[in-house]
Amino acid sequence: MHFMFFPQLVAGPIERPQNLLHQFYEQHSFEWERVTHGLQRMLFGFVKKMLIADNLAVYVNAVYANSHGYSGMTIFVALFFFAIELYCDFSGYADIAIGSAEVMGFRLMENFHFPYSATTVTKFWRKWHISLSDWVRDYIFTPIVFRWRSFSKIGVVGALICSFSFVGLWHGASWNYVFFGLLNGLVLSVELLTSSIRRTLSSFFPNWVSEYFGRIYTFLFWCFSLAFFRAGNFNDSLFIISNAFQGIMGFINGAFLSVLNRSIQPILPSLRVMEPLTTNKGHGYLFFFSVILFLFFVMEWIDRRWGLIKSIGKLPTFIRWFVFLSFLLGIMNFGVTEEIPFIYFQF
Amino acid sequence: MKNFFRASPLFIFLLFVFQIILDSFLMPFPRFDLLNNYLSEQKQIIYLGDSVIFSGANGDIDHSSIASMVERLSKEVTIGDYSSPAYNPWLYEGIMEYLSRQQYKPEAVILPVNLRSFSPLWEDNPMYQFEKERFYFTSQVPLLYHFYKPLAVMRAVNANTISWSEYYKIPVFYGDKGVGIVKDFDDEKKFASSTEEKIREKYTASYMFNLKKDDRNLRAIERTLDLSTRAGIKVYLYVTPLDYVVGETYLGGDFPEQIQTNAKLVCDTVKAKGFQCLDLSFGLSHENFSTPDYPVEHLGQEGRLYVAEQISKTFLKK
Repeated sequence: MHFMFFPQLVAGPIERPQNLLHQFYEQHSFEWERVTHGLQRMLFGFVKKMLIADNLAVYVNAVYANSHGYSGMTIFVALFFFAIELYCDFSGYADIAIGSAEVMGFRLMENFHFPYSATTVTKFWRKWHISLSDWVRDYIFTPIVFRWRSFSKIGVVGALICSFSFVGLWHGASWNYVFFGLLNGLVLSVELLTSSIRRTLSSFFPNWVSEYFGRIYTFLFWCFSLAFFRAGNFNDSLFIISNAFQGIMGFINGAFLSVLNRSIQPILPSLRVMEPLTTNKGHGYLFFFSVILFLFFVMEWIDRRWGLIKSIGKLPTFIRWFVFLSFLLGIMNFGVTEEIPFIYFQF
Repeated sequence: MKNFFRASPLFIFLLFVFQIILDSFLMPFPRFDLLNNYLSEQKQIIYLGDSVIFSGANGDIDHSSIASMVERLSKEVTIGDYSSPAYNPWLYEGIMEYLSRQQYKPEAVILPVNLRSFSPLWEDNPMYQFEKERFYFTSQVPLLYHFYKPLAVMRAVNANTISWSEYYKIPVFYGDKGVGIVKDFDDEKKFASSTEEKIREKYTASYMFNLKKDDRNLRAIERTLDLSTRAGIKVYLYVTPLDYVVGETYLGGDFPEQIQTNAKLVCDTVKAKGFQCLDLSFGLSHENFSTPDYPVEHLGQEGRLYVAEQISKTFLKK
């Protein structure tokens, strides 16, 4: 029953038997509040997957299918889009799974906790695919740390490297995934070894500065490390990373010259990033993706601050219905017509 | 619980209403209204076709489309021009199905067949599939066409007959011999400037395939003719002229031979259904075409007038 429980069967959350099994023996009655809450959670999951992730996937797939054919800034945008796509795809699935279980009266564990608000990569992994991180912590990291406890911090570093190599391998038997895991393990190790220095350094700055710097650093690291996750092979990953760097440098250079010359011309080549989808300038696509990303960031911000469902629940019925209708109409009219499977279905 | 059963139908009703409003305002299909206007104006002939019908050349004084020229030459008939870039026989079938269901049916439909429309660069190009347009014409449930996108998103209708990645892998033939895949031939950057090699490649991919009897568009022509027979609508079908001079220059004698073979197959198919077929593929020389090195059948005013005269003479002469 545990393995066949369909909401979490395909891509998690990786629920522990002790959390789920006893729920099969409990009496589940129809509760209006619970059912609507579950349905709303599912709706937000569908918005994340069908409206945000799938639309970004069209761009990302086009770039990764022919990465050598595009300029640096286009590749950087694809890296950025893929980070958002992956999160919306996977957390969207988790929302649908948790919501559908809730409709039936079951509680599943949360799998994400606003990972893109993390200020370090260590914190990021406590917020990303929580059920996998917990499992790896309990069954790989902790036993190794315990065994290597005499090596002090070096033992912890070794455990981190081993655990994250496993996380990489869990995604697939390919060097790309192993390197993706190793890279994350290495950065976590560096963060562990430099924690006291970083604490001292951050004390010189106001809290918000170190917080935002931390968020940007974590997110950028994640975007770049995902090149190993998404690209077809190791060489493509390296090509994508080096070109994305060049893209950013070109953008900064263009922006600098634009300010210096008081002209928009120098930065324009860096802004022509919609070429994977269209042969013209693609202002329509640029606007559409801006709206999609704005929607994502607003949803995340409201959810983190007040809880999305809770805050919508407080609205007058008329506005609440308007929000739900807008989401449904958005999916129906701006969803993608080609089949884009959930990314984590393959793992 | 009671609230749920009271609220759900109202919510679903509102969803339907807003979808119709949104589709009408955000994603209108004005060409659907254009055809309906022609029918309400009781136009005697509907002229289908791709951009060849209305595109001209630099230096034209008369910018009229072929459809207007035919109307001018045959004063007794009224013609509704329903041509649009890259329209293809698969869509014509949908339009004919729509026409056959209407109370007022036009007397005839002029159906130009562009031989390039059978090439993978056109027939399989994801931009030229017109699934939405076809859905509009073939859906028989009132207002259902406002739900095309939602149905496509839910995969209830197939909106992606061919994806870009599939398209780029489709083989390109020279006669029956494979010479590469679409990706080698359909690259905007690659063909930005025209060299001898590029012109040869483009002409190869556009015309040099050996058209097969079971081709999707050829089958669509057969079904269109069947539909028109049942509906009592005449079909005046012709094969559009193409720049055989440039083709022959770059591909030698193989080019006219292949064009002749493909045009013959189209006309034989049409004749087998009891219709007349006018083959104009070799009707015009190089100077009548608007683009000297690119395989596009757009004509200058003299060329358009020639086609209009041929149609008028062959099909509309009383």
